[in-house]
Amino acid sequence: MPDREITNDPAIADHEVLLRRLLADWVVPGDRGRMRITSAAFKNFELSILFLSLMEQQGRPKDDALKGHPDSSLCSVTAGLARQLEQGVIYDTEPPRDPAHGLVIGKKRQSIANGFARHAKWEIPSEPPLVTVEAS
Amino acid sequence: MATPELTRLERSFVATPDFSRLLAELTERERHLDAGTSSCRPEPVATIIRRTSRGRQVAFRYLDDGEPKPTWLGPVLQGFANLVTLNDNWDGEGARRIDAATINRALAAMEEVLPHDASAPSIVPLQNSGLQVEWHRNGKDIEIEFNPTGSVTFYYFDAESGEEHEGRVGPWFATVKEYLNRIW
Repeated sequence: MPDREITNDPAIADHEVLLRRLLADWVVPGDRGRMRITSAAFKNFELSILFLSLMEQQGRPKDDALKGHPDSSLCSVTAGLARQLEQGVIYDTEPPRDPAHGLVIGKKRQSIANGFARHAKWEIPSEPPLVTVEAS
Repeated sequence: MATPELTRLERSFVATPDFSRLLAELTERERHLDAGTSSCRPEPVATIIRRTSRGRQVAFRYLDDGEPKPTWLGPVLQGFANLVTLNDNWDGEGARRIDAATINRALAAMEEVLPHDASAPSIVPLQNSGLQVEWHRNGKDIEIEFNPTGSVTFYYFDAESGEEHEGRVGPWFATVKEYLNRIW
């Protein structure tokens, strides 16, 4: 477990890419015919992420972040964005955590969670899926 | 117009004091409004609407006042059914299942907030066991967040103007209704 006194690790560069797994429930219809990421995916005080650079060092492809979660998608934000949004970023790699695991720590008001959702980049799939109309 | 009542069939509904009071007040207000008006309106009939999610069936009670059902009713009930059927650890990170009382409060709010022909919102789970109702239309975003602590907050964003607001939801959702009127 990380030391909870440390809420930001300045050794983590702003350009570090943080991968966030998206549950199917967190991808909702947008208003331009494409699905979008809901801010609900970014509201936890301690937000679980994987460091892309650590995964690469460990020889793991991005889709390893979705292992065991076939219905999930993957997006990314940067550590710099997290800090702009008043959050701290730390490593959290001790077992039983994933060796690339980290946390984005801080209170996430709706405007902050929406800041993440608006700026998040789609990784898997690489573009937001098309909205499909379902019979209710 | 009579207020239809929409609840999920679960004991926790009556165990939410604030919500019970809210419904009682609504009912009383409608009685006053109805007094002296036409007596030919049929009595509302309790009907059960069922939705299936994740292989489970969820039952909702709807007091049918004989009027056409709201356009959003079906999708909204499906959205709530999708929350009800989430189990502990639904996020793979240890989140508890969505709080039942919070679901019932949000259900009641839908009746309060939505015009009859409104677009159905997306209904999504939060990792704190709460839920969020959200619309994304015409470049504008509105969210209402229902927390298990009982707090209800809203968020509004207009991508074109950059206008952004958030805060607590006040009595009768007056502020939220104002913002919702901008997106229909």
